[in-house]
Amino acid sequence: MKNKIFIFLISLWTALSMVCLSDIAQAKVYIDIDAPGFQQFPIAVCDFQNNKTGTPPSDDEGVVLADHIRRLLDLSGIFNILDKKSFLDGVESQTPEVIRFSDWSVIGADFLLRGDLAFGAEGLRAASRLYDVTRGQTLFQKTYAYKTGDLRAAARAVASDVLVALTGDEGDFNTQIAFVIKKDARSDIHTLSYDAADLKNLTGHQSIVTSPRWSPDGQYLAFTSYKNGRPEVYLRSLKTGKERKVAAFRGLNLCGSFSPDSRKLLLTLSKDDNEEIYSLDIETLALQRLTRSYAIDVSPAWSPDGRKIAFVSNRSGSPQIFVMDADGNNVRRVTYEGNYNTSPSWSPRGGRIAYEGLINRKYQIFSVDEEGNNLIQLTFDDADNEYPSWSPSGRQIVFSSQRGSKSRISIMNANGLNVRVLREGREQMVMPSWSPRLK
Amino acid sequence: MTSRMPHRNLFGNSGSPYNMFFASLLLHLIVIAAVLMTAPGSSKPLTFGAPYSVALVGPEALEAPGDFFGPKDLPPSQAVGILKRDPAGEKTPALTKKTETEKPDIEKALGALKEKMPSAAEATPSAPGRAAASPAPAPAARQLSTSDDYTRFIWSKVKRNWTLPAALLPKNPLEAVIDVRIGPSGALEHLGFEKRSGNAYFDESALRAVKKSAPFPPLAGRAAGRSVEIGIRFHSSEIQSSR
Repeated sequence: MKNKIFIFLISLWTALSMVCLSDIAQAKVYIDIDAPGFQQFPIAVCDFQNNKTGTPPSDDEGVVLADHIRRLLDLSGIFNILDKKSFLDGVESQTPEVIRFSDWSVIGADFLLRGDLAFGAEGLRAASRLYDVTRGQTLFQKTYAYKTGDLRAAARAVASDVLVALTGDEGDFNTQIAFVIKKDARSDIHTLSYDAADLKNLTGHQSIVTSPRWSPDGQYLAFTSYKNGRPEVYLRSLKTGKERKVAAFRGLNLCGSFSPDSRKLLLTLSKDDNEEIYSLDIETLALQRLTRSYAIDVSPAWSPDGRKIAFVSNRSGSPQIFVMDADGNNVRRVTYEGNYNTSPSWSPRGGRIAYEGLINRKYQIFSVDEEGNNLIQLTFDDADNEYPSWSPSGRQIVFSSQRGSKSRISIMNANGLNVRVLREGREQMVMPSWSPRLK
Repeated sequence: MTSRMPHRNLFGNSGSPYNMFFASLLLHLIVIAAVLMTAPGSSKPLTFGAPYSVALVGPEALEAPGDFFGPKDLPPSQAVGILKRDPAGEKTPALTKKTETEKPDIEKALGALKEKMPSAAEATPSAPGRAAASPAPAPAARQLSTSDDYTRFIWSKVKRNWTLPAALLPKNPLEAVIDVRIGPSGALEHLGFEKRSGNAYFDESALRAVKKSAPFPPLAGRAAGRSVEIGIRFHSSEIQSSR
């Protein structure tokens, strides 16, 4: 009897164990993925189908438009533009109704942009469609009307909408970069569009012109000019092209950044003996002194929320970045690494300040949060990389580089990746300043 | 005496401590079994260790060399950062052995994959190795016999298909958990959120990564012929720190 009971219990135990084990096998497993494999959306951009017949392929506006869009998306740093050569045969001419998404996923595309281009009496009409290849969905479908020949504007509009669809933000395609080109003893402010086209000389003062700063509303460009033999601050209306002198005090008059509401301009003046930071109301020209220190205080930059101002001071011995409240109180030091840190620029998304610092006898770009923590070095090459300025989206930073006799204006992602050269030349290019989004 | 009668009836003996012991054991077993049967509903991983800390099954078979470590245009600093992170756990001796024994199968599978998509593999210079990660039908030749192999395979495939620019992330770390049920054939039977991150673009990217990774290899071993339920947790902390 005892044996029977024992056998019964053993078999019960075995049966229960099997039930438990199979249950464990079926238990929900969790997999942790701590970082994406890729940081760039793979996108296929087809040449736009042109309704004009008989155009040679090199002049085909549909191809040119698609090339402009590819270049813009590529510059944004968040796309991997798939090579046209990888497209399967015949897929580009598929009509919207018969797109086989597997033809696109097989070459690695997550997104597909296609479009048609038509020319009429009133100009060009570009119809474009963005598809999510993985899910086989249309993300947007839109027609753009522009003057014939305004392919770049159409490309910017399409690229902006692609970015809105995928990120919720239009990006920086409708922006310009102002910078200084030095030739011999003279320098002038030039502007360049985001895709490095349309270089324009803005000032032509036949003098030294430096430190361009855009007003956040896109109305003005402020700068320092030596037109009258000494540094004075001017305001140029971007609408009318008229220039107005706003600061010509005794000694140095250097241009700093605008307040977020575009009403005030920060200045460095030495009228009260040493370089101090002031804020100037651009309508009334009322001046308010913000710093009082025996040391040199320069390069002021307003925070995007208008509450704080970053600036450079040598009050602790070497030039370092400091932050103060907008009324000049509560000054605290932000940078402690290195003994030469200048040119602060505040991220439009808030929180971080980019600056240039001297390390291993080269200037490199760094970024740090406003409390002075989480310092990141963004550039590492053997050039001098200087004058960081953030894009309006806060995703990219423009800076200038000097290596030997060569000079460059480049943009990079805010984390230092994807450096792209906008312009390279033998003339010295410095002090780039990224515009707000321009209409 | 009457209170002892049932025992006598059940076990046909006097209520000795010996019988009491077995009765108690039986009751305990039933209670433990009941607890274990209800346990799978809890959200804690019960069996498998964290898949990200262990080796990939034959990385050379799962992806083209170099591909796993990120796009080739990354500057050395970033590439090194990723290199340091992932293969850290790869050198576990026990796992290396496993990889060796499975090599023939995997090579066969890779051969099958290559045959299937010769044009695509050659034609995407800008996206090296990505074509292989695309939704080609899962080759039957691949044997992922243990559940560890299987989860590791899913981890590697979904990670490779997850694209998210760091620049799009907010300052705070995000986490989304996607609930996936994989059928016996490896097909996706269910896809949904167990937890959303609160950032629509992050959630979308996670969903897209899983969708792009399907179908998975057929289930083998003990799980053959069944469906398995997997939670995939997507974190942003690692990209955030490299921002």
